[in-house]
Amino acid sequence: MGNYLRKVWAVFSKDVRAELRTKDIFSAMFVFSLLATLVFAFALPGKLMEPKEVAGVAPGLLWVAYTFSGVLGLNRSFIVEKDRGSLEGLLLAPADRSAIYLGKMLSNLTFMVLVEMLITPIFGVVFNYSMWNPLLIPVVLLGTLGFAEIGTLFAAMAVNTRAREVLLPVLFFSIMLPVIIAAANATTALLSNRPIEDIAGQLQFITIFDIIFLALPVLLFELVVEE
Amino acid sequence: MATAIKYTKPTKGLGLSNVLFWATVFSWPISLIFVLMAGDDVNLKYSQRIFYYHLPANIMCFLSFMVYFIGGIAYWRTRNRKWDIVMVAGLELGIFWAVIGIITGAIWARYAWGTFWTWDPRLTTVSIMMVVYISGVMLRSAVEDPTRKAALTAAFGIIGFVNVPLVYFSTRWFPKGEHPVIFGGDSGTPVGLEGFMFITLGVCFVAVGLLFAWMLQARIRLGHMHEELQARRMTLEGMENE
Repeated sequence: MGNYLRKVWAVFSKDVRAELRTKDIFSAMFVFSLLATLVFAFALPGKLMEPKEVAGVAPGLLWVAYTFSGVLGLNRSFIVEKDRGSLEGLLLAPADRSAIYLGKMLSNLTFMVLVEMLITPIFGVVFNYSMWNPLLIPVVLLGTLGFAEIGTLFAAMAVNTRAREVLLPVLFFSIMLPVIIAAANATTALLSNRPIEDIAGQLQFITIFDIIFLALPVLLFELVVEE
Repeated sequence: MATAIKYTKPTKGLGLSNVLFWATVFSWPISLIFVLMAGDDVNLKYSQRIFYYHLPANIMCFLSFMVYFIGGIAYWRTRNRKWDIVMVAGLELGIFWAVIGIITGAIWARYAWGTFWTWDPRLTTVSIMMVVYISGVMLRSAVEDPTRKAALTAAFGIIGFVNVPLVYFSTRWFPKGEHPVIFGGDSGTPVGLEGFMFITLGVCFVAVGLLFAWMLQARIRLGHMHEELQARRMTLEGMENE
């Protein structure tokens, strides 16, 4: 077990180190989510004056920004490996394939959470709406974990297809819809200061989703990367 | 050297394909007679009759995706390409029956609720399910290598099918729907089906089920023929190169 975790850690730290040197993925994700936020602000003129109206649209837009920037990072995580020919090397490593999946998943999760931590306050400023609620942290973390789990598997699938950059969002968004529904609902409830009981069901649901879709990709990753 | 190729014979006489085909051809007019003879619904009058095809179509849609899922599991365990043919059959038929279910449902809803579409939990689930499986078709069309195509289709089918109940649960936070519940269930508007209506529903189940079975085996046969054609082409090309 310790050996297995060490392999997961090796893949994870390799990705983080590569990212620290190039800052490709992170900067693209951050700039994209920033632009998305601004586009939302410009596309909804006049909607940003009334706090009530903002409360109606902001949580949904926030999750759109999260998912769109997330899919950008997920795409890069495997395309970079493929184009440099390092994916073969990674797959030849004497490790269980699921360890590679878990390492990649954790690095994707880290990049996404970092971007979300940066973009959420900016989103609050642009929309002139308080985004601060400590309970938002578990909602965002659990939702993002679901994104990273499914997204990493689908990125590995899409990288070997013809329309790889286009295919990932198509696959990813359709499967992620339940999490987006639950997370956006929970965020709406939290930011309009509804009691915690209102979001318990959503949190439970996202947790169940996360558990199922951690187990399935671990089992299926071998199938999608084999030559 | 020419390798032996399994040859799909055209069915004659009492082949499964012919039996299913003629059973379908006979059962449909019978089901139509039953539907016309069934009594009018108190509130919905004539429009209620489309329901006799709507419910079976949706069940067949579910069965098709189940076929895809089972094919996916079987491919995952065996890596046998013949399961790919089963998966495609399930995937394509599922989308076909989902479209039939949505169209018949929308026509019914126009008269019952005054609108073609509402964001009721069931309708939302069906629409998300459609999007998921259509993206499955897109996934297939983006892969050329047949082995990889089968592997990716299998993985996506397993994940997509597990996702369906989750989609349904997630729609609980939508406003309570008004979609009627026919069997079991304690939410939604209950619908009373009595006597002859039950028999009619049963007859329609048989008719739609036969059509489904015929289409499924025809699609699987078509898949085998396609494989065979590819194999023959390969051997011919090999012979030319010699």
